[in-house]
Amino acid sequence: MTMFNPGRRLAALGAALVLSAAAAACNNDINGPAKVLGDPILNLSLGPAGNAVMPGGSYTLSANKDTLTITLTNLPPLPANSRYQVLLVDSQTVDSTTNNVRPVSGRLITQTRAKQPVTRDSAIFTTRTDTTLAASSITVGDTNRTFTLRVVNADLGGDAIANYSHILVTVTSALVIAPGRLERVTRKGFLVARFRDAKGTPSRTDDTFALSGSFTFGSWTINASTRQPFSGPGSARGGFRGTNIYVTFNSLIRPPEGFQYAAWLIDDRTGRQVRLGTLVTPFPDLQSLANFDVDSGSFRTSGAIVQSQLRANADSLGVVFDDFTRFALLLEPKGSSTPPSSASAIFVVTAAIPQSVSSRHSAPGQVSGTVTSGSGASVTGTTLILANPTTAQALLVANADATGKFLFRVVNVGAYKLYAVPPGSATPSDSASITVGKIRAADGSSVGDTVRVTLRIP
Amino acid sequence: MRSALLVAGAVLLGAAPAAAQIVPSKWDVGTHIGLTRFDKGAALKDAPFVGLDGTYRLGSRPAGAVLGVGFTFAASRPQTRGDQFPVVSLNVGDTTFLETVAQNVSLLQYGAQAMLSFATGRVHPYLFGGGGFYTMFLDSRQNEANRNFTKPMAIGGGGVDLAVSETIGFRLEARDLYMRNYDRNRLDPTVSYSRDQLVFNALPLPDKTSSALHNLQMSLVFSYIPSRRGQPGSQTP
Repeated sequence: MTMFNPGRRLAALGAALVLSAAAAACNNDINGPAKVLGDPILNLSLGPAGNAVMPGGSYTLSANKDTLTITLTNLPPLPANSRYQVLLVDSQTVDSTTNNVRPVSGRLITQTRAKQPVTRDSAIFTTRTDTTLAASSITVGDTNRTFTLRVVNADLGGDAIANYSHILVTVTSALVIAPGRLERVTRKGFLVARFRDAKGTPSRTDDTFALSGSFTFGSWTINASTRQPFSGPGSARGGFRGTNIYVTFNSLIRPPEGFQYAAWLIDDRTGRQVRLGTLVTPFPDLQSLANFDVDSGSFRTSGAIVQSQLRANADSLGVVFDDFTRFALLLEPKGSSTPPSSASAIFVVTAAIPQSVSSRHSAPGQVSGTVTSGSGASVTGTTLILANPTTAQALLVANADATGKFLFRVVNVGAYKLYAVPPGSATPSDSASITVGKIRAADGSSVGDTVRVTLRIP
Repeated sequence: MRSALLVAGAVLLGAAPAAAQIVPSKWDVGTHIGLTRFDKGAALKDAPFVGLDGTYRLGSRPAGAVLGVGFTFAASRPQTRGDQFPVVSLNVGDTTFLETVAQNVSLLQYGAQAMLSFATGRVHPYLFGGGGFYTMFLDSRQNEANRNFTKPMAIGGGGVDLAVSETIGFRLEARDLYMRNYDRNRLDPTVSYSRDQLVFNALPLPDKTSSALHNLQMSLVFSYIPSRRGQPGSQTP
């Protein structure tokens, strides 16, 4: 007879399996599946610049269509070797051989409006008028300066204003002198005004002319479907993370020809401005978008860039973020670095730098010190008063211990006057002016300094 | 801790009375406990596993080699590596936290294998290989669905079998778990709208991956030959 004992063996086998599973479970990672990664981001609340002032102007056309008067306002300053140039273009001429663009010159009048104070509450404005010979002389501009260019048919060398349909204002480093030709989709100019409403027939006698009008700021092409007035900033989000600032822009409109985006930090209290740089495509490509106005690339649609970024590091710039009050995205002529304080700066997006940047990154400083006695009297209980240096208003109070030592644990960055009042006295016997400065901590944040003082009592 | 439990298991298994003649069967059953070191491209943290295999010995071959065929099964519960997937941003008022997100998955591997062992006394080296499938069950709460996928796999490896008695032994085993049609992106627990769109490079780029991965499994195996008491020559089939 064969004796099986399967029950016991199977039980033992099962026990081994259970124990093995238990042992495996002991080693299992029971930590949560989400883990915070490094420094948090202190958000920037970004929005369109409500007070943005774009370049603009107007034109008037005389009734006989032989005199064109162009007025330009709020032109931003240009970098060295760049000029503004005015062109006339005929959008109906699109064949491959006929010229359709002509540079214009004429009499230029520059009017500069200046404000002069009369009394504390009133001022007068004066206007200075200068005349030069050509529109190409326009290299600087601001909101107080108006340029008026008067062009007559005689300036066009036998051509006629009526043969063209649009006025373009461009930024160029090489002035165009001879007539030329624009392709259908070539982006050209940043200010455009249409004065001839072409009927589309070869004859221009049936066209109508607008005798006056305003310029539109934006990109222009002969092909009407690809023209793009500058309309807005798209959407943006950003923030500070450690010593870095990141701002991501979605669907940012392409700048007109000759312009680029650049970001700045501004301190409205001191007027200090620091240029953060131009935009790049998102990580990991980080392609420069300095030529985004005319370049093609996979990172953009015909009218906008899908996503772009501003990335900057405080250490590289030598700044502390909480020294500034405002972030600004500007549209500036390429090659220049238009300061945001300029009256003609084109603000596109702005954001106030949140309090959290300074309150979370800035640790308060400390004031510590020692009180000594000239007569050897006890210093115990000496009152130390930390006061406003201007008003002498007491801000913090501490007492010295038996060895004369005292400590103000939390003192905000700033200037103070420290008074020592001996025990039993009502008047200070000694004082010191101190400044709790800001220093850079190891993690890149700014922290308050620790100040040590020695005061004497009689 | 683990070793203490193993010792306890061994004591339990060795507690069988040994009164009559032991007649071993041709089946050899092994319970595994071990560690899987996943390929870097798998985006999985190393994880312990438990397993079971059974081998039916077909008979001796020249040079003392014994060929067997059988099944293999293993289960583990690895956690995905959060640093291999997009970082998510959690916006709380004026602060945004960047977080890595992982999930716990259940991995089953099962198939058939052939084993060739060499009888050299109490210590038997052996080689084995086989194929089958692996099934991965994703975390249903994080994925808001019951998701799993099954793909083919192959295993190959070897080890050393130390016979403690006629029916009990321990094996040290290492094997290559070769996963086919592996898609790391299936393990991504993040959703597009929550992914970081600001910093982008808060983490280094993920490790290179492939659809075919080699993972190393090392295990300690308690092997057991089911037996009966009886007269010599009356072996179980």
